[in-house]
Amino acid sequence: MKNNHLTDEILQTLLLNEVQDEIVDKHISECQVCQEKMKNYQFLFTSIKKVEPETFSFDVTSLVMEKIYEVEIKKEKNANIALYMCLSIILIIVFILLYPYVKTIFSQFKSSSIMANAFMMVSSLGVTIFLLKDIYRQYKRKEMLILQ
Amino acid sequence: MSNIVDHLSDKVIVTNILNGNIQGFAAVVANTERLVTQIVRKMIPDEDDQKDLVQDIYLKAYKNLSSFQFKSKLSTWIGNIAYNTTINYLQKKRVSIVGIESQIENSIVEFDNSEMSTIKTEELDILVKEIAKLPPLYKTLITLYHLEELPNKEIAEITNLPEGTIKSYLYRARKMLKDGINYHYKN
Ligand SMILES: [Zn+2]
Repeated sequence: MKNNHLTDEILQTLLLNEVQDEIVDKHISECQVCQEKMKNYQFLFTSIKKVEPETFSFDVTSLVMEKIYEVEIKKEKNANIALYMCLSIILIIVFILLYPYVKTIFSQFKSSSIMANAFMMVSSLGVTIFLLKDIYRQYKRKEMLILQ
Repeated sequence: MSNIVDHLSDKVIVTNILNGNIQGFAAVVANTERLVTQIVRKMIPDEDDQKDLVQDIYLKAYKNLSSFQFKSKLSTWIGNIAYNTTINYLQKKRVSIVGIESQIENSIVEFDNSEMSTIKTEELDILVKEIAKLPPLYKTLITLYHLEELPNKEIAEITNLPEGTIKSYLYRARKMLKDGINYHYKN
């Protein structure tokens, strides 16, 4: 007799309107055991909708955006370092390639001291890097404007 | 129709972020926060772990945004990242996601039959406690299906589980809930 009762699965699908069957309906109308079970499931289905969704005790958006900006800043820093390294390497290569010419230019300044020469070189190098970086920045800004 | 609108707005939002509008991602977080909360909070009880996981989930989403194919809703895609990250975390901690009962204490509240018709909040309390006792995955599935009212297909996309498996897990979870509630009233 017990085996003839409807399974929990069938009772659930009935309540979810996933299945309709005359034999099943007939059984429920006649069987108290299944009616009772059905009532229990009905209770579960209606009350589960009233459960308040849980929330976090912290603000998700600010926590996440904080982390993302942190990562972005780090990324930009790394990109800057890479850019400076590239520029320095290019300058060194250019300097080496142009060394014979540079030598002749230096011979023009024979009168001035080594310190003055070094100062001149470092400052011109600095200015060049600064200008190149500015050009790159402007290029990036224009690229962003075009993409937007 | 709403699907097309969703799809279009997803595309606008994602393109905007990929073009450098980082703040645009805040809208994505705000829109998906509820779903991610349901997935993470149901499976991870510890608050510090929750924070780490949430940051991890959204950082993954942010970094992989360019690989998002628009084959599903953006929220489903992020839900999938949330689910996978959480499951990985549980597996690392060797917590079984469907086998054992969760660590939350099985505090059994005594009720007698005369209280069958007590106020609704009490009924809800019992149900909430019973949901908390479910294994992590069942908890999440029940929440996604009944509270978030997501269709099985979307839950399948989030969890990478076949729809048939989800259905049978849901049956088992509901049976556990029903039996748990009955236990409260019969004892
Ligand atoms: Zn029966």
